[in-house]
Amino acid sequence: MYRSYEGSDKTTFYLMIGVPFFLLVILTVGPLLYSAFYISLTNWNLSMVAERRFIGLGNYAEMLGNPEFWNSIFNSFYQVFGTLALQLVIGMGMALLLARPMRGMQVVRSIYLIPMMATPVVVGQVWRMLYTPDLGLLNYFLSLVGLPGPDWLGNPKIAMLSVILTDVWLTTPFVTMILLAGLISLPGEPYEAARVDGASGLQMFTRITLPLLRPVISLAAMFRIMDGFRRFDTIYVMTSGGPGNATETLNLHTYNHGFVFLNTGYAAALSTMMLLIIFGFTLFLILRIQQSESV
Amino acid sequence: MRRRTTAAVGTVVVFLLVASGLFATGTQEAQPAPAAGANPYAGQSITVFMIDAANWRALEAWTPEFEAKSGIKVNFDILPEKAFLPKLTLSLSSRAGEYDVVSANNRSTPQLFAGGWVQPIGKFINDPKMTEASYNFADFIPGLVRTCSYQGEVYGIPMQGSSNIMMYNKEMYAAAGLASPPKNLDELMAYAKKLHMPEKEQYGIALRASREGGTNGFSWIMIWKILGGSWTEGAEQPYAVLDKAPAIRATEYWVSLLDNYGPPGISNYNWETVLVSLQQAKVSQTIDDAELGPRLENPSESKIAGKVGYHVIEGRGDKYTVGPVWGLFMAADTKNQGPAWEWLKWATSKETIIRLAKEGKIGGPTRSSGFQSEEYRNKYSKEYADAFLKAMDHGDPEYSPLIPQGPQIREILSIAISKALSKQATIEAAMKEANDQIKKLLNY
Repeated sequence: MYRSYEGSDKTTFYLMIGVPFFLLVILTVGPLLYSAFYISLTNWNLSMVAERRFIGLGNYAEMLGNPEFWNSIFNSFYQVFGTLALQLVIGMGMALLLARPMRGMQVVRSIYLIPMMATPVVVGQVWRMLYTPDLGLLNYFLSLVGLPGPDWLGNPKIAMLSVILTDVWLTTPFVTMILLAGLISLPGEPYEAARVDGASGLQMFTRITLPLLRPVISLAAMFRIMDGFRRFDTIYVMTSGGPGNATETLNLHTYNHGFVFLNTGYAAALSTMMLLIIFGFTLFLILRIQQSESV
Repeated sequence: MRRRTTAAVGTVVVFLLVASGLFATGTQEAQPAPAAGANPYAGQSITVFMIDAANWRALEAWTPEFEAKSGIKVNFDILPEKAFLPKLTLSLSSRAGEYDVVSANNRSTPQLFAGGWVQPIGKFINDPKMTEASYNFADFIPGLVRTCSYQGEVYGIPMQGSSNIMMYNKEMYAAAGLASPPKNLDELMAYAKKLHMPEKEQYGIALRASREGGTNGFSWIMIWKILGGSWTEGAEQPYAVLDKAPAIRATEYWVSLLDNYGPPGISNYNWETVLVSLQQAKVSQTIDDAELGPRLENPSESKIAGKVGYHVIEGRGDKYTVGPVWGLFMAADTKNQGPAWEWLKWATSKETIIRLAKEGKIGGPTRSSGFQSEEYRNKYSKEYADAFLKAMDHGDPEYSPLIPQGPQIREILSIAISKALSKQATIEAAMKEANDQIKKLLNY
């Protein structure tokens, strides 16, 4: 690309690219490498700095043998994929509804984006109030139809579901937006041909829409997985990882070790592990998308 | 061509200027040397970091009087407990001099002392040029000063010494036919059973039970201490005592009490929810920090003002209540020692402390003269003052482990009892697992 530039254009190019790249390296890549290849290999505790030593892979060994770590991995996967499954289904449904040309559709398409614009901390606080067993709205409405309201955030079996539900409310619009963009850009000919052949709506959806949308769905999934693993604010505000450690995801676990116990070395190791996990999924999905595009 | 290059260079320069501007914030410059005269530090400013509670807010509200007298500008950063605790250690450990004065209690001080992030203030107290005789540091209650000291040196000034007492709704007691408060934990359980009437939306008892900020550990420790629990006394492996009899019994009691006679959603109760549930006459009794007393007696927010009883349930031994002490400390990395000390003297003076007590911002003055003052005796009922003093007398400042691993031990405890309460694990299993983690943490 840059080969097509000449002379001072080339200087411009290097300057424009060079400065942001340089800053990116200093502000993100540099600290990341420092954290992964130095801090995570020490036993650095901020309140016991004099005892800091290089311990090689000690943190990683301890992590893999720690049941609290595995519990947080399980919770993270549960949270991320539980949210993803619900979001894809609900998002797909909403996208199908919004894809029809209808009067006032522009307005509707803006309204459904509102949850996405809300601050997650505020969303967490409001949902926490909704979930309160005795004074919250959810249990109130359930009582109106005679159903007993559970302790949404206090019952360890359903606390994670409550957290997932809030996350679904907060970020499904994003999935809907991506799927809607994909739906609108689908070609019309296959559908016309199918209608001529007498295919039903459901058949058209499963045999035409879904396969054609696969790269878009993978893209949405990729974004949601990256974001889902990093979800902190809503969970912290609603349950702090409780009851017990039923909602303690890897992110919260890392936060506790890094910012409460001041075990910076161990927290750095946990962060590196989280990065590797997210990276693994993202790489897999990107490859899938590229495969679909090359077909 | 040249125009484009100029534009590119121009953009880069602007960008670098903006970026360097962003990097430049957060560093303080040293203040100029004090001018001689009545207001030696006039024109200088300090930053104070405090936790969000009534007494600290009062200091913030009254500081303009100090600013007018001294010419020192005071900036405040105030956060609720859950956000305050991590920011305190993080900011101080970064050594950026962000704060000159901080509030802290014995939950955080082990880390502050071990990290060397706060400085001893003996040199200011004993210097007649910096502290006038009328300040009278000896007036502070010695036990509280000890908690703010480390290796024999005084680091902080106690601002709020507290302890736990039983607070109960006298009206609800009378309605249930209970004439006097419970003498021990068994009676407390029986009372809770009698007062538990969910059909009338009245519940037997509320204690802090939420995992957030480890606050459930606070109420558990209150029960544990009554049963004779201690982190270090008589322990072959100090701090790894959660599988011993007092801890198991405390957990059994705590879980049973809250499970059977607590309000719905008790597992998310922090001190504010406990307070509100009592103020709204939903719950009839609690054991909690005595500082909640003034809030219960405030008619503008409490339905039960004037109907509250105070009592101390005695425990085994000499130190059967918790002794959290909140103090004001000077950061080690402050560049404004002079102005900071001026504000500290004002905030902890006899006048300010008596004023805090008089206006109901603090239930337990940290100066002896405060307790003996007329204003204090007029404000609080004898029952409250007696209970408070008795509890403070038996307060254990080491109710929370006073070592740098303290917060982690508290978190381990918090998760264990939270699991036990929500039935994710049996009590024995949860406590044993927690104890094993503590042993591993301390390399036993």
